[in-house]
Amino acid sequence: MRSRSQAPGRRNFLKALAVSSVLPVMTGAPAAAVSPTPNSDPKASARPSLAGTQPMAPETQPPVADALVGQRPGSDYMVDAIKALDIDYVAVNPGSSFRSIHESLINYGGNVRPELLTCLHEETSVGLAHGYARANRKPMMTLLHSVVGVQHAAMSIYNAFCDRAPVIMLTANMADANWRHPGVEWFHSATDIGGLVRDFTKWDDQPGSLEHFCESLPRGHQVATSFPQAPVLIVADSQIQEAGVAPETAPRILKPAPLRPATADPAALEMIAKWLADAEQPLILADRYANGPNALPALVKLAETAAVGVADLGGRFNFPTRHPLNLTFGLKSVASKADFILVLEPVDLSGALSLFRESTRERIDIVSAKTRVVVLGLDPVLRSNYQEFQDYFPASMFVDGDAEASVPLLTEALRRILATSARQKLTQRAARIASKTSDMLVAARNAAAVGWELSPISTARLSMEIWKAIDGREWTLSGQTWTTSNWAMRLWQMDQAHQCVCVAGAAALGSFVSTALGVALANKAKGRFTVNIQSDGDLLYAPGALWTAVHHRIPMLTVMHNNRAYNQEFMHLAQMAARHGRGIERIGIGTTITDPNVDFAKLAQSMGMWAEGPINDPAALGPALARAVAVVESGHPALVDVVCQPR
Amino acid sequence: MHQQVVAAVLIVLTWESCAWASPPSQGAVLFQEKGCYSCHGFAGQGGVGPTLAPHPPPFDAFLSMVRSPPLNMPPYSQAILSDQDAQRIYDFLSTVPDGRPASELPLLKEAPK
Repeated sequence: MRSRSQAPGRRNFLKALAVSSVLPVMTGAPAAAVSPTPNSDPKASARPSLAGTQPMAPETQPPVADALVGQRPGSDYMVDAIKALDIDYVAVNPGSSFRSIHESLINYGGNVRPELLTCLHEETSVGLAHGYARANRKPMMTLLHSVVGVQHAAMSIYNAFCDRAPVIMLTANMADANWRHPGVEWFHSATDIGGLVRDFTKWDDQPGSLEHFCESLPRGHQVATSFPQAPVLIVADSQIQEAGVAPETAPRILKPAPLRPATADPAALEMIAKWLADAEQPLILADRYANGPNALPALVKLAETAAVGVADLGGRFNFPTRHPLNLTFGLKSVASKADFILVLEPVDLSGALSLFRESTRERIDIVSAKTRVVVLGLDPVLRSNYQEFQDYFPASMFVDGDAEASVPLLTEALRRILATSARQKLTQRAARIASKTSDMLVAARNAAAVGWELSPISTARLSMEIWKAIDGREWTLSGQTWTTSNWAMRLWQMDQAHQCVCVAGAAALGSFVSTALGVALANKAKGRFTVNIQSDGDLLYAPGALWTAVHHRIPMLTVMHNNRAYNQEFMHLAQMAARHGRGIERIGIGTTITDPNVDFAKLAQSMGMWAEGPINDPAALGPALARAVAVVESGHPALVDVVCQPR
Repeated sequence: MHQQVVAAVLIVLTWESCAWASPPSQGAVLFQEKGCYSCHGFAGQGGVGPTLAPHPPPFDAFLSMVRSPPLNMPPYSQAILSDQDAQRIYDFLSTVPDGRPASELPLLKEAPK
């Protein structure tokens, strides 16, 4: 352990450069020969010159020139490497640990491809990148301040990991203690910064040189975007960022290789096709299936070819809501009668095919032991610590391969083996399913009508007023629908892949507003309208996302589902209070967001956003939404605060 | 303190503009006090929990579900909801009017086919 007086620190190091024989570098000596790159040994030049020196008062310090002025920093080359990835945006909450790369991005890189987006919290940065990746099918980047920024981002990283979404994250570090400024830079350094989030990233690296960084970046891109996708973290060491680099030592700039997802074994697909053809009551469950725009129509083709009902489990938007074969909201009843179930990229298959009894914490299977359940997808297990991989389901067969890439092949295999004689059976089955889905729609409409005039406004009314406001436009629904009883999924017509990017992830509050913003960012270039149904509790975690939307002119209509509570937790408290026999009356303590009520319109207005509300009268909602839509269509975000029923 | 909390909840979460519920009946107040609304909606229209109104099931079936729910609903024992109060809540649910049918509501009538 060295003593304080011996510690050179960055300032003392530069001072040492000035007062020692190193100073001539400023007069034209080759930069690479003297730059304090990690490949060199700073101690060799810095520490000996300090030995024996006495502490001096600040006012007695001689003027010192910055030894690195005029040299091309490593961060310029890092920007070259970033640009080779074809990244459009990098979300940033500024941090001194990446000040050099920040400066290189905006000046050397011209702040284009990538363009910096200012976020007010790292949780927003990563959430935004997550939503963008889901909507745009390509990753963007985040810059996270060393240690504390990564800690801030941890929830959003986990959320993206659970959603299997690619985010390329850069953070910084000061691995070499000799480089650190006393104090804060020690707080913001770690021996293993990736360890903070290693349990929920797919890969991380802490390059020890500029060359290493420029190789890690395309590798990280490849790892993040290959299926199953997930976030990656790469450390851009602060010293490597700032060190001067001589042209002759410039690193190679590499591009990631194009990826082609792996299809399943053709023989296995033939087998699935035969089982589908032979089944009397088959069923398809699709979860984290549709990533690209062709996946949804491909699944429609398969379903129509086999005359099979499809339940969309919601990991992605997989199947048109109003398709006559859509059995999403009848899953539990139809699954119990199915003799063959094909599952595409499941997240929680056990949960989908069972009921759960809260009082005994037991699962009740709803499928017969004789039912053949075949999983087609990539094994989603990437890490072992966090239990996001869900309960193990003993499927009849697991067919390894990317389901999205494999479904068209499966459909072709099915077509080959379907006998002409089977047509009548398939037509009759399709008609039976269509009759059921038609009945389900009528029932949903009737249920939506109950409480139509209520104040607080019913979530069914909220959903349909939004529908009316955006109908006729090319739009995307983001945010979440499960807290509004899934009315949008039950009543809206959504038949195009881009129309629903509702990001669930780890169901982590604080993530939804940021991921919705990322969806809106992706839609901005396409001129597509984004509507975000936003819960109040979620927004209050990171309301600064609204400022980012305004600052960067990201058009998005945010409609508050403001039930003035963490209603999920309210219900959990009801469960406990009932179980413990102590009464329900006090469960609002700690679960409601009242006294005072949050004025979300004022919150948004304080950040320069157009906003209206709180709206209590259902008759006032439609006109307010129409005004908000006009604002969004002019290229700006808008918010309408609606006081709603709990669910 | 208890009364203050209940009052606060009622002030914030009321259906003041709902003509049929003004003034709220004892059953309506209990429906809120006992937290039923958080799953079933203020008018029992349904949400996470099933639709209870209008036209709730027969009282015996209703009470049986309240005391021994099959899946996720909290079991409401006598200690936290007396039979008398359960009856009051039931009476409230029975008075929830039908409202206009979906076929008469333009937004639902015109909802995508």
